[in-house]
Amino acid sequence: MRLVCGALFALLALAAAAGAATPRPAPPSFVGQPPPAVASYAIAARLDPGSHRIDGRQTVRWRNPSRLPARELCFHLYVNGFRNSASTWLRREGREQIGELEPDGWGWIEIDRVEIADRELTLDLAFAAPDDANPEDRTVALLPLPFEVAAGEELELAVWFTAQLPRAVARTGYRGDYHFAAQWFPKLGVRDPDGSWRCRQFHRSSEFLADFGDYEVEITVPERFVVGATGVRAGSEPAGDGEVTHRYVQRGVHDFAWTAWPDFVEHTRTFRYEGRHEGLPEVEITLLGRPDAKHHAERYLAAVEHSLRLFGTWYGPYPYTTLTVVDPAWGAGATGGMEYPTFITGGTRIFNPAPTMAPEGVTVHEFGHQYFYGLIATDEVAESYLDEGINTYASYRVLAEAYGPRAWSFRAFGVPLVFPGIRQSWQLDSRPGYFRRPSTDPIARTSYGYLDRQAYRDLTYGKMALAMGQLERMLGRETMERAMRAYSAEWRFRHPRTADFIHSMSRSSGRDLSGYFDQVLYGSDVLDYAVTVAESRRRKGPIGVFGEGDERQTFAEAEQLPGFESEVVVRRLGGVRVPVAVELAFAGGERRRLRWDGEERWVRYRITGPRLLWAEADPDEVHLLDVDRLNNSRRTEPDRRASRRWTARARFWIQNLLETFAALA
Amino acid sequence: MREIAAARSGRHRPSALAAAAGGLRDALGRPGAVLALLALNLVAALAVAAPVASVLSAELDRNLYGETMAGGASWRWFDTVDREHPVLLGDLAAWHALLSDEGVTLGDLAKLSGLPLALAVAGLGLYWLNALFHTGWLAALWRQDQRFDAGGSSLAPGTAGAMLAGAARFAVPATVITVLAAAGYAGVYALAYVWLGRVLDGVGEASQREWVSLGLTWLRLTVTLFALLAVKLWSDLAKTLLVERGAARPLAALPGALVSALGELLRRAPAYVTAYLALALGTPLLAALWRLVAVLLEPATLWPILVVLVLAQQIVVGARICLRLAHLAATRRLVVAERV
Repeated sequence: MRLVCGALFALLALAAAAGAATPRPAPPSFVGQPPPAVASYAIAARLDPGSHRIDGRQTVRWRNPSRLPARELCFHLYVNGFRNSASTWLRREGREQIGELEPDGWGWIEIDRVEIADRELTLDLAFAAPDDANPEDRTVALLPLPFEVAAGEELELAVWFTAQLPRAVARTGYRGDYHFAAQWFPKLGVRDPDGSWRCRQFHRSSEFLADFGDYEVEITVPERFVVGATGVRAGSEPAGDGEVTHRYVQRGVHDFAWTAWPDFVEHTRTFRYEGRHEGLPEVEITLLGRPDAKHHAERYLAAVEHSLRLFGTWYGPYPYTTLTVVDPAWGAGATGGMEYPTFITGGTRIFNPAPTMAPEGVTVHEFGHQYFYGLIATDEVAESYLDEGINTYASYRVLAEAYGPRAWSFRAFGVPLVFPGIRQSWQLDSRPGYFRRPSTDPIARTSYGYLDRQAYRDLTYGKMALAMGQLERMLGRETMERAMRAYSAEWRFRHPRTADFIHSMSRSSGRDLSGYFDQVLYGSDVLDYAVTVAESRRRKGPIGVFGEGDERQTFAEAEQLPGFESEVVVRRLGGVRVPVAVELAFAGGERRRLRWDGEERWVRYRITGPRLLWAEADPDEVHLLDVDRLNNSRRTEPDRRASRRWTARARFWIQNLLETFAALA
Repeated sequence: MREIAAARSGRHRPSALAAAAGGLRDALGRPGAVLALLALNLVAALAVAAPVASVLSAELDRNLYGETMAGGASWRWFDTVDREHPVLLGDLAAWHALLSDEGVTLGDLAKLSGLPLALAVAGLGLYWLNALFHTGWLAALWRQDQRFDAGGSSLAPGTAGAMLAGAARFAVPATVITVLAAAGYAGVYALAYVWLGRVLDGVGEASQREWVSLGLTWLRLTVTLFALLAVKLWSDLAKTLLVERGAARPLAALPGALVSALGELLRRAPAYVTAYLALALGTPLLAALWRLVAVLLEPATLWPILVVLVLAQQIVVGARICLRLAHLAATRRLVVAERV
């Protein structure tokens, strides 16, 4: 056994990994004090672009963060998700991707050798399938340790591995000579304080979780390749045979990804911002762009600058000194739209006019993950909504603030058709999928436990973002900002759970939010308020028999009284109960605001006064989760202007379509 | 008709553009035919649009969204209506498959419902009815020429009765041509659009350059459009030759017309294509003109403007029908010229 502590490790490990004498001092990669390292990696990797294969050796320094001694290690071997059609990734929701891989685009990773304290343990490795007991799945491997690692103690191990990149699929792989290496090395799972491992298999609808640490990675590629990676480039040296070795370092992160392509066009910019009260640290931004989309470089860089400024202002400064954005090669879009620490991928098209917000939307979203996944490192498998949902909400705020609403558009034959007259709100209109199937599952599920992949997207991204937006409208923007900032500060460089999030938000906002989150996170009921009756009629006196004896009188005709009697019925059609405002508008301009707690199924209002014109439930659109906004309002008298206008248009379109059929005759 | 009479006498052969202009004159000279086809189109459109109108009324008349939609458009309203009334637009995935590289399958078509199904049924019905009408119209023109040739100025020109009689006489062979043309269109879609698309997609992605993919996509579209045009021209030629040859025994004339149409198209493709495209330019011009006019005819506030709008819409559709008949007449003029 060899337990290694202290700073000597880094130098020794690097020297061993790189086979070099003494590494040069690396430029700073972190502003301030990085978090305590749990899992640090020194990796030397060489890419053979012909076979798309990576040969690597890594030295891992791991500190047991739990309260109990460790007797085994758990590794993720993610690339094995693309090994064959029997893997858990490909045999279920990912089966549609098999066509992308066959016949020769499969990916795999093999551990060639494992050593701890000069003792080879390769034969002790065993694959495990803790989620579905699939014997063919090789995305998780257990390594029994020859000795116990006590709580807080450190362990060093060396791993030799070979990774065959798949043809570009789901975030990783190659296309021609474009290579994107994500989840490409054996990576340790996360050991919880109670001694259990969070080390799930690789599923189609799942992402990642790892502990923070320091990374020093040497990547050897042919000289013609342009390389980008997590972290700061600390140098490049010839490696012989027309190859070059690039060295990257990064402290305080929990993953490392990189890309290599001869055709990348590099654009750089330094982000500087002096806010009103406090400045934000400088960040070197690098865009590795497609040569045929160079004209979008400025839009990418501007989107990153907006993100650095607004995320930094709202949720705390970005603590790293670099950020690299990759615009994947054409045909390798599967590697786009993804986040890694200090390293994100976007995606654009040659024709993307500004109103489509195509590179901006994805760039801001993936940057947002630097916070909600990167810094606040929630479990993307067990609680994916905590990163995807919260980040969707946060990135929509940035997009709305920086750009305003976008125009509706669709793409036909590579050309976008933009309809500037139809504006889409980022917060309200960007994730409509949830409303189509709102009750498939509660949000709070493992990412692979939803009914299907669409449900995963609709709930983790869509419903959670809407729930956060609704919370902002319920609490008020200032309170929400304060609560989110407090949550971000409290859980930075940690792994918060759902309960931690709810507790933090409740404490900071001064409101008990558990009832709200119980309904929207743990329940699958819908929120739907409807005005089902809105009527107004002239007041009339009573008719019938009145009085007794000699004074008995029959009134056959009602007496006209001044004013109107109006009736409004608001119903709660869904299971979610939240208070709702009801606004009534009367002739003469009078408005009345009523408030209903929503506890019963319906409420009826009877009002005497001016003529009622309309009634609306939730007039301020606080309830973003309301599944049907069309039934939220009702007029007492119909107004046919809109339906006439759109009927005329619809019929004209239909006439033209039918004439097109006739023209073929 | 003087040009045709002259062509028959061998004194003059119209150019493609002259044939197009003459075809336009033929179509404009018979507003009754245009009006009849417009009425047919309108009746079908009203039937198809009825459920749309019903939903629009239900979801706008008493709804505060009506205010927005009276003055502009609300994306959220469209999205919600689509969600709340799934039968209205039907299975959009089937529509998407139609345009995607994957191509639509019979299974996709079987899933059509709602408005798309109504449109498909009405469209196919109109396709067939218009094919019959086209034949009748050609027969009426032919009869009229004969009378001019005979110097019979006292005889009435082609009438609605003559058209209907012609349509009835040639109904069976015209239907055969229509079915064959439909099969041709389907074949073009399957081969030039879907199959070629799949092949070229791989090439485009392997190039790692989007502009290569775009170029290949547009190449495929061009090939598809020209192949569709070839089927259309062949169909028009077959009908023209059928009418010219088959006044007495239409069915017997059909095989010869089908084969001759192919030969005619191969021999003089540039002339037929030029005449067709010259008139086809009218459609985008109409669309551009409509974009300008429609802004002025916004019926949000005054109902009389709605009436003007509806009338203007009918003029546009009528103009398209007129162009369609002009295509047919231009083809006929070129056929006649070729046979001089």
